Amino acid sequence: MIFTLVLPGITAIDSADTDTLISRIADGDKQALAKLYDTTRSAVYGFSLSITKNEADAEDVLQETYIKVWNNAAAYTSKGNPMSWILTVTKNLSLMKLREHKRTDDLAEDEWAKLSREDSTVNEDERQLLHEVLSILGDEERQIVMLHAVAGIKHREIAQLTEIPLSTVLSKYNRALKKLRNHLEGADTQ
Amino acid sequence: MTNKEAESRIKKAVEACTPDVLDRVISRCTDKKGELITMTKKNNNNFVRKFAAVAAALIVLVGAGVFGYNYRTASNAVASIVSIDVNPGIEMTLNKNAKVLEAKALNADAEKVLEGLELKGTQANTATSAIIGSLLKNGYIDELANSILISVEDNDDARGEKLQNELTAQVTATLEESAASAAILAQHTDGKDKNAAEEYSISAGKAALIEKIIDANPTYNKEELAKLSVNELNLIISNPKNEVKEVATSGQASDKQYIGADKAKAAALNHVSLKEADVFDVEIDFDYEFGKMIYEVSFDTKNREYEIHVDALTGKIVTAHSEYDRNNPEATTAAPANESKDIGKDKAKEIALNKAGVKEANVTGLRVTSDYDDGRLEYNVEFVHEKKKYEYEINAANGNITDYDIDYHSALDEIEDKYDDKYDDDDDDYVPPAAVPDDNGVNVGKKITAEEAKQLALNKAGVKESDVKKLRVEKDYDDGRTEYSVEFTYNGNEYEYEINGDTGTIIDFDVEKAERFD
Repeated sequence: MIFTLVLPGITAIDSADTDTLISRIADGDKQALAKLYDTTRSAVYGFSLSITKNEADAEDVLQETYIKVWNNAAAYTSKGNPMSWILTVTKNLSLMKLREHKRTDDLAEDEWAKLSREDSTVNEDERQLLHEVLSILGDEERQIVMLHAVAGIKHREIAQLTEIPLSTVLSKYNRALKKLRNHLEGADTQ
Repeated sequence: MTNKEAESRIKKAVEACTPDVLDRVISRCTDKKGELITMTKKNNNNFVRKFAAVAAALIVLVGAGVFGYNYRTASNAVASIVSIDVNPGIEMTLNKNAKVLEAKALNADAEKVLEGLELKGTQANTATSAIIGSLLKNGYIDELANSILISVEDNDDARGEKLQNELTAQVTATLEESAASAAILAQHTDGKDKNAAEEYSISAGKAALIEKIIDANPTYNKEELAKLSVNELNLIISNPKNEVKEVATSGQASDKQYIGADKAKAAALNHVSLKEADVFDVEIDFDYEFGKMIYEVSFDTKNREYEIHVDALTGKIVTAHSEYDRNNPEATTAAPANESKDIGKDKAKEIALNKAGVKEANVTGLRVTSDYDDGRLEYNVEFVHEKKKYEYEINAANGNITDYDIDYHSALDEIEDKYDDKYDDDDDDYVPPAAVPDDNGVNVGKKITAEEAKQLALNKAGVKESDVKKLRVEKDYDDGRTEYSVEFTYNGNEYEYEINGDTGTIIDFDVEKAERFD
């Protein structure tokens, strides 16, 4: 008989720790901001990327999110859910980016793939993979996957954050994961 | 590849791709900081208050810890609690040498299992072996239901883990001797779920497992899961969307009392008139819905995705859902946007009723509405038949069914429907873009200015311009028409209206609580 231990695949970001960090940030502690940035930046970037579908925009949003957190930390009242607060900031900034583009020029879907940045610090294979997996998902699927798999946000909170009904969040997540597994398995055997 | 593996693969890719902007952030924070002196000061007090509360909580925790430690070091004191669940639930308390202090039956079935067993003072693994033997003898573990849950609660993580492993090995060995194929779930718990356990008369171990399942899938509720056997729970967690954390699993939960995956698939394919050869990416998983075990059958065709739920005991269709795979380019070409043809409302209704195989006289709440989606006219047909709600989306140009949904219809839904019938003004307000130019290509309706758009939005909200803040009017060109977007805040709420600039019709509006900052 084979025993398999199911290990947690998602490491959720600890709410109490994050609350404490935000308190310290409100107090003007830059070390705390750096720590918060370190533990949450991929969640913020991933979520923004899933909305903006544009690396340059997501990078701007990443930067602006932490500046907003710095400026508004004092106004944050702990509800035990600091990640939702941070990601709401990210969502609003990302939607603003979308609106900016809408006003100037619609960003075509395929621009998404073309917007390659010359950045030696980013692993090109991982970038390629990320683009592939994100392009096979629908808009909502992409956001839900980023929030759950990368940011470790619970489905119930995702429903609140994205204003998508919980049952839809779950079925879309399931669908999206199925697509991703199929894609990743295909990519592995190539 | 499991869901967990896929998730961690994506997570790794995002982590590798996230640019490092910390230096830029920090450099911009310095400049802004000066403005916030008073806020920071105020927050210091908050911080002290928060800190005091945390400190108080810590003292309580430390106190409990010390007490717990003393309590658990004496030789007749409880060091670990082990529960064994099948459907009978048994809880054993052990001392630090893993000797049984007490074995307790948690339900009537368990009393039968413990009858005649003298477990007090025996070693935990001997006692476990005896309990498994009695479970087999009394027919609680058989080929129809073969799942066993072993839960260990212990303050000492290392001792708890050792005990969990020993007992799992003991159960495996006992079952191998009797040639029964069993599925074992083993977990280490922290005893936090005692209240839920008492409320539903189940072991703390089963309550912890249920908590983990709800964590993975919050659509379940504790009360309904508490009624299920461990075998049913084990089948539910075999579904990738219900994958639980920190539970060691071995063996396969028995599905022999159900119709089987093949029959479920056949029933699902039959329901949508498709053949095995037409579909791919078939996935069949167990789930629990509307009080029954179901097979969740999902598959794709070239341009559609299907998810059909089949009653696991009877093979009847519980719910069915299908939609276009919008990411598939063939999907969009499959439905030509032939705007000139329109099958008409009656034909759409007929198509939907035929598809459902019901007569108009036998349905209630029949509604046929039209809508523009992706630039083409669509009919939405909905009705209720035998407590199920049917919804069909039909392409007006060719009569093809583009989306449909069959779901249980609750009393609450009926109230909502009545409300919709009375107040739904979607159809009146919404003027589709195709209706704007008339036969001569001249716009009908009246073009409006930004000023008029603003006034329309304010009127609709029932407020005066002088009372609102952050008023913003934007002109935009969307879907081939002029649109105005009017935004303002009033009384702590954010209002947003989208208005068709060619007709003055309000297309969309949204009111929500204003953000704390901005």
